[in-house]
Amino acid sequence: MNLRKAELLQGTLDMLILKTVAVQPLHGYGIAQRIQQISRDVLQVQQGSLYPALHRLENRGWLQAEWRESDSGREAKFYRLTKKGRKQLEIESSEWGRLARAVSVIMRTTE
Amino acid sequence: MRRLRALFSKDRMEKQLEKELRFHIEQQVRDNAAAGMTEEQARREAMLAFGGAEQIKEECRDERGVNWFEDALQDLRFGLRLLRKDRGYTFAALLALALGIGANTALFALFNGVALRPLPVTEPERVVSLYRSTAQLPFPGPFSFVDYEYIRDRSALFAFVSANSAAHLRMSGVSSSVNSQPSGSANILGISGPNQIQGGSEYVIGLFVTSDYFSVMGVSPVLGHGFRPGDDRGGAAVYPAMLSENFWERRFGRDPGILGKHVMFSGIPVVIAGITPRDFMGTRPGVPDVWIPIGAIRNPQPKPAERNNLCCFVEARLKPSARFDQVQAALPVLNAALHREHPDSDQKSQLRVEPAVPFGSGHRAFDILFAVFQPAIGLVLLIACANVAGLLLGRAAARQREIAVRLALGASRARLVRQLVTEGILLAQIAGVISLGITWWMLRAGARFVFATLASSGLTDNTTVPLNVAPDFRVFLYTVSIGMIAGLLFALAPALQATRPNLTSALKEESTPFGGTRKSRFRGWMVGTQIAVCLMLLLGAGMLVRSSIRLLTTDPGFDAPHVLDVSILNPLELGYTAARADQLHKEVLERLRALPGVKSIATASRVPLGGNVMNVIVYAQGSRIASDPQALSQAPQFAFTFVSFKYFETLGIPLLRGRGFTEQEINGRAPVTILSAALAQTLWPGEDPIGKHVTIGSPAQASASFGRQLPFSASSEVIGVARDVYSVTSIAPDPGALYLPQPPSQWDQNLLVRTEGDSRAVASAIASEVQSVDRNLSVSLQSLSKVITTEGGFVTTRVTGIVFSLIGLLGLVLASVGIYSMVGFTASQQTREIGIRMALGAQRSDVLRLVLQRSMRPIAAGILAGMALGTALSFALSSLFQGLKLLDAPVIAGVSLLLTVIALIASYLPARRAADLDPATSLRFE
Repeated sequence: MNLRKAELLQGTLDMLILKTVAVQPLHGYGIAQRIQQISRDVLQVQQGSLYPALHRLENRGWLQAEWRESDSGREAKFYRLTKKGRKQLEIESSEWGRLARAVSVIMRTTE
Repeated sequence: MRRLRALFSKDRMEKQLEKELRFHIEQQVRDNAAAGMTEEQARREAMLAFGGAEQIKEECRDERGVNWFEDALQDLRFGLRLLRKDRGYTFAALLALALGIGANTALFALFNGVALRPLPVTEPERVVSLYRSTAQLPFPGPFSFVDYEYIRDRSALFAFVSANSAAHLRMSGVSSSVNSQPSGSANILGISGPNQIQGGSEYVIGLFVTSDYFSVMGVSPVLGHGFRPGDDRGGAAVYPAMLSENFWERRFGRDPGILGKHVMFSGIPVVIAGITPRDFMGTRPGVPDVWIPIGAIRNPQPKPAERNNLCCFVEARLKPSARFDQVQAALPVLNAALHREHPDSDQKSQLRVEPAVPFGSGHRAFDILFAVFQPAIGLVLLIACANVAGLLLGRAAARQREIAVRLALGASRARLVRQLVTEGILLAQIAGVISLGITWWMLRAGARFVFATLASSGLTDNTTVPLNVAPDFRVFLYTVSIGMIAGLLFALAPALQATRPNLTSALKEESTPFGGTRKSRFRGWMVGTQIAVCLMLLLGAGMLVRSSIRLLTTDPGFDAPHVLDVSILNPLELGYTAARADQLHKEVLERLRALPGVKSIATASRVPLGGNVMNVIVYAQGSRIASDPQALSQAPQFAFTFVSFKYFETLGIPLLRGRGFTEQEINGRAPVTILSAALAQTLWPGEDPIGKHVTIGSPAQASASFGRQLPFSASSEVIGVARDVYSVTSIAPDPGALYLPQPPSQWDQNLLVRTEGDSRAVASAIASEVQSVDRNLSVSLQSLSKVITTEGGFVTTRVTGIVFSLIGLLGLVLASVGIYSMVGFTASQQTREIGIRMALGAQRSDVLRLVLQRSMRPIAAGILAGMALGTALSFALSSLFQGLKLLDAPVIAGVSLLLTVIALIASYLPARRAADLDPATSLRFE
């Protein structure tokens, strides 16, 4: 699956990012890697969608960024989930749950 | 906030963005290398996977909202380039807007100078005005002196509290007279009337003040010294006085020797102590000539009855520790205490505090003018906006290609509309800057015009009315806001119009050559709006001018052209004995009576339409009112005049019933009275009032009016009924007036002389005759016709009419140019259609008719709408100007016709140009 079609899946990408950094602060590259790993390479986040999304989420106050040293020893921009972001994540994951259930019900009945 | 920070730390932001993306790539390179790629390969793969870094950056910036401002800057630069490129359009639009905005700014600068600017004193924010309302008198009313003292002595919030009371005074005891041209600062719009010196009699405007007045104002004399505590006590042999610098310069040519000189002001002996700064007028609507301690008029000391004598306006300076809202909170408490401690005070009275402004309570007199002019001037701006909207639409048509291309390339409509509106606001702001210059010119020209009108009608007295119109931050802010609103107003509609998502037809060029497109309908609306608004303004102006002409030609009920009001210096003011003064009075009357050209002579306590109107309660004797104090205090009051023998004959007021006063009744002050027809009708509707009795005034009221005794008569017989006259205002006849007998022996009465033929011819003979009795008796004369033209109601209507006409003319010029350019533009859009028609055999006249017909529809609609609006306006105006005639048919018909003709000429010229086209050229014309 390709997340380049941002219009369609923008909300989903945002949710995935929020979820990913909820565990621990990560930099952009790390977030992309983590999503890819966890989804077992099903989801590949394109940089063209990732960075605008990160800046959007930061601008909305859901993420907070800070510069610190990464594993490689270089300075990297780490994103951390804010209180507002955590609330937003809860809303989005419950929305997602409803949507996923609804879709799977339809898929089963129409089979 | 975030946006602003983003903007200011833009460089840092850019670097961080760069760093963040670089980190991503480096990390990818590292991982690739770890997976076994060579360094070079790892980098290449990483770059490929990453894609266009610049595009990502741009999207990140968009998400942060930094671009919004960048876009605006870019739009501005683009807008400026366009304005420079299209000079004709720019000039036309700027001119229209600058006139429209300038007119608005000018009015605001006036309003600012009258009502908003702080006083030109030290720490003006600490100076406040106190006002009082009573059962009879609404805010902003004056105080009685004892109530002033009460407040002064009890408020802990004020550092100083002062009272002042203005009066017209007659100056004497000064021999030399200098007339010098007053100089002034460039920011002050001043009027300075001519020095009216006739026969040595000089009228000045005096302000009686308490000795701490200048402490309240925080103003020090430029020369000499100010008042000292105790100077305002009554009963002094001689009082110190201060002259305004304006008067000192105008009258004494800045002679420092005036300090210490003795002068008389209406019988008050003073010695000049100091000079107040130029144009300082406190909160009066004009610069007083002389300031005199208030004790001079409060002599003897006040009686308790004077609690109802509302003489004084009160200003106070707050202590540094006190705040305005504390004063506001303290006043009701103070008022309640006053009511409690003094049960005789008006229990319904209330107190109010306002920041002191130039013109003080007088600014309310201007409020009515602003209430009329502000909407009118706003409408001129609307015309200008409609005008520019039309121009913009024309230009948008020319830019149609550009806009269509940008839309096709994916620019959002919102972005394009924003760009077009930004261009509009830019245009309006440039116009705003230009308008500040125009404002300056308009104010000076307008002021000269209005003040010249006032001066020619003799209304200005000798006073200076300094009005500071220098642009300050308020004016600037106002102009900028007006520009924003105007820009939005005229740019938004054409912008929405032009960016209508209709790509194909625009790219196909010029839509269809025939038929009414949406755009031409929009232009029609603009023409219609301009015509309607313009007609409404012109109708308002026409009705006001007509009503001031009507006021001039209305028969006031007395024979004004043949009557002179002769004012002679009271010899008591020269220190003559009472016996000598009486003797002189008799002699003067005898001499004048014998003068050729003089038909009759009378004296009266006031002149119709001039002097202070005095009212007194009047009711039928024995009416219930008498026994009910509540009803008595609220009984209707009517203007009264003390008159001498032959008063009615001299003024030419016919008696409708009964008879006039006999000489015995006059000399004996018999209990008889003559009523005006309206008053007789009010008291005894439908009955014959002759022989009936009225009660005039009440004992309690007998001393209630400042400086003058009110009459009291328990029973007066009505012996005559006089025709109604216009004596209180020139707008309507008096609602009721009564005449009381008084012997002609008093110097403070007005002397009225009826002359044969034109009264002006006899005037100089009268003046020299009076001076031949006693050289010291200075005389000034005025025809009653002149009194009418200086009456307040008339002057207001006339000045309003003139200013309204000017505003209407401005609107007319703008609208004519607007119609001309829009019809011309529409016709030029139709060149191809015209060419085809002509090629198919249409005559020149057919083409002319076609173009005119199309422009006629919006013009006709505009005229109809304008008539309706004008009618509505006349209702609004008639509530402000009572003399205004509703539905003034000749004005409506005449002005509408005039405007139609002008609109037709404005559309005929471009129509003819279109018809003169060679069909071959016009077909090729693109």
